Amino acid sequence: MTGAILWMAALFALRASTAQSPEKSATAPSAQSTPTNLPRLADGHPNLQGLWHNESGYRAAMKNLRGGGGLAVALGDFHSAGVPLPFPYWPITKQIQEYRDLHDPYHDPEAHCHIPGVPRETEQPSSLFPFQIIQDEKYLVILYEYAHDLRIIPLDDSAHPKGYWAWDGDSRGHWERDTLVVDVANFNGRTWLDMEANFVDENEHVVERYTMTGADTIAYSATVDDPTVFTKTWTMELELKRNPAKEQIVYYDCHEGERDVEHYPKSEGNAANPHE
Amino acid sequence: MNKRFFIILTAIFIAPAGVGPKSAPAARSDPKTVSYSPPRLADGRPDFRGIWQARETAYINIEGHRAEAGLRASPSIVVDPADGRIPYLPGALKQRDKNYERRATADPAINCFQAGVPRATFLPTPFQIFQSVGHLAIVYTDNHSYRIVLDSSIPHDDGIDFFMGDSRGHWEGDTLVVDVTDLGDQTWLDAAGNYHSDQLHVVERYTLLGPDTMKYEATLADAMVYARPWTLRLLLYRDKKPGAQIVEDECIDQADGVWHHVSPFDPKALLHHDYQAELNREKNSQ
Amino acid sequence: MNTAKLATVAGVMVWIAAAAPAFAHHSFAAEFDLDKPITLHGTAVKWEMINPHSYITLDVMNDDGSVTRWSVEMGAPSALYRNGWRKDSVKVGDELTIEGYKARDGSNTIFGSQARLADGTRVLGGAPKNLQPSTAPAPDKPPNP
Repeated sequence: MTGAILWMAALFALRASTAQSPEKSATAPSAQSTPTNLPRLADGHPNLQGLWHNESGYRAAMKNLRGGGGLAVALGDFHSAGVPLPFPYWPITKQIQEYRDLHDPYHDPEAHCHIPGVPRETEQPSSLFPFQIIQDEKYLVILYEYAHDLRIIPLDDSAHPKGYWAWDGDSRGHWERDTLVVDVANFNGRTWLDMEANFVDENEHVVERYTMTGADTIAYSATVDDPTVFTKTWTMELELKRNPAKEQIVYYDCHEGERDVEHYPKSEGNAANPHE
Repeated sequence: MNKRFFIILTAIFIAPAGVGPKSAPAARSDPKTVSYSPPRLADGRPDFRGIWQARETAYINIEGHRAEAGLRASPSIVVDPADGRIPYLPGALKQRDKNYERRATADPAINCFQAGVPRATFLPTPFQIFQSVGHLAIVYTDNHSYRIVLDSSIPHDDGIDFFMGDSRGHWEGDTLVVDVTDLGDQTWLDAAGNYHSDQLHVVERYTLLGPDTMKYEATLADAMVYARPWTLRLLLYRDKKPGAQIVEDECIDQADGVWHHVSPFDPKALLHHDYQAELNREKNSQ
Repeated sequence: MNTAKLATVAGVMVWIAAAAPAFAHHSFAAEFDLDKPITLHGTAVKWEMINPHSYITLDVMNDDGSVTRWSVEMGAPSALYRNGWRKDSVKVGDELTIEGYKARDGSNTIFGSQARLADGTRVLGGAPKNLQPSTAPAPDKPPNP
């Protein structure tokens, strides 16, 4: 009994100290990060708040596909002419991807400052576009720098709405021990996965997992199921890393009307909305 | 050691990313204006969390408007000057009147530009305040805009413009005071051509009056456009409907360059795919 | 402006790295050619720190005395800001030297990867993670994926 009281007291002290300082480890800096040393909110869940970025780079390792730290090129986040990422397309959707990659890169919805969708907004180039998480017991909101995208994630595992179709879909989250699991559905079929015309459609369904592996790292995975685009489910894994404490979002308004579209080469087929 | 020094010192050591130092004591609310003591977060700050919306039609014209299609007449929300008119410089007033004449095409909102501050506060769509110890953000339905309110001990970004400005907050009693700069000159204040230059400086004051009511005031200073600073005020109301949420608001650009909002509830928002037909179409258009 | 002229004003100039291109939303390689690096010296006509790409319009004097107007595309304001760019970093009439890559469509457009500004008081922006300002000659073929 005494042991239990002491343990609860210790847990209380840990929560109290970590609730005040989400941006640094509650325990001594030299302590090895273990799940029990994670910063936590008063409700006991890991405190994911702060500014984060994709540390794994643009082309992330994907389970069940070719693995290894991606195909980073010296200039970082450029399209690399050559080796495509082996998404499990159907023959017809593979043709679509190859054709667009070669002929219609400006049909990329991001080329028109549209919302990137899920999981693309998480894999944004790490050197450029971080995202801010604010969290309480009811909501986790992610404010992405890229095109001021944002996702509000209710944490009550409530049902997805019907008759609702969005670029970022609809997100519903719940905790499985120390992992935040987010179910994302209700996509509108207008998003791509990257600049190489890899894409998803309205049948996309994503399950994200955010597992804090230390005060400054989150293991992120997105399992994507889209039966009309891919022959099987696939998973993307990234490491998210906390930005230094003094860094902030610098708003990326992106859309300022037509001033950028006019600079796209006409020969690239820059129709504003090719699908309408 | 005065309170402000203590606040700054605490802020430096706790690397704040939000509003208000975590350890400074919350001051008593100003009894001259507000007697309501709201629920509070663990740091003693008033709990502003929730979905809020203005009920009036100031989005049409801050200075008030006549009754028009389906809408009652509405008075000015300008409370200072007392006559309810924005104190434009003479040349700026002419510009405002030109904007008004051209408002059907010249309003930046028509091109799906973000609304800016304070226009975003009194749009006909709701916004949501997210708040935790050390963090505060305002998320607007309109054009999926958001503002992160950082602690006022962090200097403003300088030499860059943001449609939604750059926000720094501090507390005066139970009132959240937000200092907004870097607003650029690409936004209007309403749909009637009321405007500003890139010298605009806004100070907002958010005060809870009751569990479901908030008072919002904004003082605007811009020496290029206004003869003196002026203030608007309105009430915001909590959306208490079960399941209320901020929905996605995105715009699509059509081939003619016109942008239009797409409702996520509109079946036309959903793009169905017939991949063979799409491939044929794209090849034929080359 | 020839190299000799450039050297005399170099003392008051500072290199600022343009941001890694904000190419999260369209393919760099589709628009610009990494095989065609180029350096422009010219006079600023216009500076647009806008989304999603910023632009400098540059008048470049050719060897025969004619002037060609070039458009230099760079990253978004948020990315440039982190590298030290500000609204007043470029004024009309500033002498600039800009390194970059030519557009594929043959127009007088480049992507600007780094710029030497007229204002020597600017702090050198940190190079973003994936793009280091080049001190070596530009590569003669694209890096292998």
